Amino acid sequence: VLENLINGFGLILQWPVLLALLGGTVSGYLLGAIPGLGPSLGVALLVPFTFGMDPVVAMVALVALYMAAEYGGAISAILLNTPGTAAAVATAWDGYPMSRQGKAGFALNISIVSSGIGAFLSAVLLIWTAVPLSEFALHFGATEYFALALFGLSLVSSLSGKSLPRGLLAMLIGLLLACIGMDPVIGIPRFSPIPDFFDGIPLVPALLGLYAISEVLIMVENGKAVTAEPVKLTGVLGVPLREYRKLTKTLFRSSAIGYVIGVIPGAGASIASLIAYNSAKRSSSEPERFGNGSPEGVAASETANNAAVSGSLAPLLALGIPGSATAAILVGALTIQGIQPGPLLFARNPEIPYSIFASLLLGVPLMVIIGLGGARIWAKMVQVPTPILASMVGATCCVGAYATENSFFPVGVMMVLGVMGYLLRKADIPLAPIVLALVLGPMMETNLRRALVTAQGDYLSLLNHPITLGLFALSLASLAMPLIRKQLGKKLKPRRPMLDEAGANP
Amino acid sequence: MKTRLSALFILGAVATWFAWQAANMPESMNPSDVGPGRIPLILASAALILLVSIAIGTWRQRASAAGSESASFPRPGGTLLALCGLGLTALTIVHVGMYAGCTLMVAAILLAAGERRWWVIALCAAGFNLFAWLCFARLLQVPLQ
Repeated sequence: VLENLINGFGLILQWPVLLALLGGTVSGYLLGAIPGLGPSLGVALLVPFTFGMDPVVAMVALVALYMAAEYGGAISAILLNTPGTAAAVATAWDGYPMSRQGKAGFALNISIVSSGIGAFLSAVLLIWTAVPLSEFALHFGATEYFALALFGLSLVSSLSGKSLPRGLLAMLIGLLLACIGMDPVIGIPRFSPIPDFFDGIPLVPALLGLYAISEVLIMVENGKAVTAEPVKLTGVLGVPLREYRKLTKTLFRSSAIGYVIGVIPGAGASIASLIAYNSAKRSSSEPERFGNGSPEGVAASETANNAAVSGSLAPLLALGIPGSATAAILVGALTIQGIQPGPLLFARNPEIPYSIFASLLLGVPLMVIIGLGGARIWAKMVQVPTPILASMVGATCCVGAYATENSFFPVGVMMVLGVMGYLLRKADIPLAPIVLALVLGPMMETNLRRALVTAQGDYLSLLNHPITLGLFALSLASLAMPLIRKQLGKKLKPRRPMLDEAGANP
Repeated sequence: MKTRLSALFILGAVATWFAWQAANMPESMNPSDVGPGRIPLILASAALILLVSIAIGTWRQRASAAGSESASFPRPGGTLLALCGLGLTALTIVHVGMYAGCTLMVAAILLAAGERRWWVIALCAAGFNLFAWLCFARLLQVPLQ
């Protein structure tokens, strides 16, 4: 591990990779700061720019953007009370009151430095856990991969938002879209009216359509309504060290919570930040300050949501299972580079995971310096007029989709899926399960059919493997989780006032 | 509610098409293999069952007081203009090329979002084309037609 990690550092200490790290971080801050954009859309928008790049450069840029965009969501949360990402909701509860008290600079400083500490500690945990996990997964066969894909799909329950049936419907839509193209076993075209569809629905244009074009249509709907008042920023750089001494415990605890929650596919940064916030409030000596401008609240939320990013990379790199929509887009980016994420990644292309590890460790100081230095610029991003933003995002998607295959077919796919995504959002059907199914569908079908052919059509043979059985049990538990949570919530409601108070914050 | 039911109806039509196509697919030569149509048929059937149950739930919500929320379209004119712009771009981009297509798209989205100053529209379109040429055509060597 150490030797590979040193090689990873050697790889990223080259100019193109350092520039990619810098570019990814700056783009992440800019995109994350704008409400409505965020990490998923940001990573999807950057993917087309990485086609011609070396895989290491491309992945370092994308992961840096993912990390910085997750932080960027805190900027609009603190300055406008409008979280740029779902994971920054808890940040707004204390960040915005601090901003109203004239401490916007202090709040931004706390959030940037806490994010950096969370990202660094979780990167260490990622290196420590991802490698053994991938070594364990090397023993997997077709049956285990099918069960793994099924487990990944079962996470739809966490990504479904308000309604599980709608989430399941979205997953089925994604799985049906994934069936378009050549049959993976006998090679006949399915659901393909024209030959362009034989290779299936192109993943990146599909993601650009579902996320970016649908967001453009939502922005158009809002028109010029979304504008922000300029906020005066002072004291971003002048926060005394003693302020951080008070936060030491919160920073360590929130990093651990963020990483563990991030590893659980489907749980994600938003849940991590809420749990860390609640935990910080429970153990604080001044719980009454939470919700009224507590630096501890900002630190807990921001540390956890950035730690969850590294956590989400563990199942992605070690098992090839994307635990979130952003991770699914990263899978698409790796696939375009001809690299299959999963246990073999560490054996066949060790330079990719280890350069990502090295970039996470090296990128943190860079993220903090750029974040603190450019605070005034990020704050200005929230004032970009919506029409201009929408037109630039739309046109970038258009060129990006074209660049995937140097043809106009992906542009058409992107437009159709964009309109579809917009209508699905209007019908309250979540998009994240579609993305997850688009990535995991082919893996599930191919491995199920391979396993059945090997077992001569005996379905019960799928249950003969202990790992498969364990994964099936986890899938069932994952699907049942919303029901269990609902029941537990009913029982625990009177005993857990802290969580309710946190949840009830403005 | 009408919007949601319409969306569910369209999805139902698409799922039916998938199920019909899957049911007509040939069987695999290998008896151990489920064949190309079985899995999509199961998925499409499950989607149809879910759609019906969601549609019934949506219909029932209409009757209750709690079900008064509905999908809203705050600026239908602007959204329609943007959709037309996207459609027009998708249809014409093959013939007019990437730069003209993007100009059309930028203008359509800006107009749809409420921007009426012609110089802003012209500046944005020109600025984007310059960015696309620099970034994609020059730096990334993607030949934009």
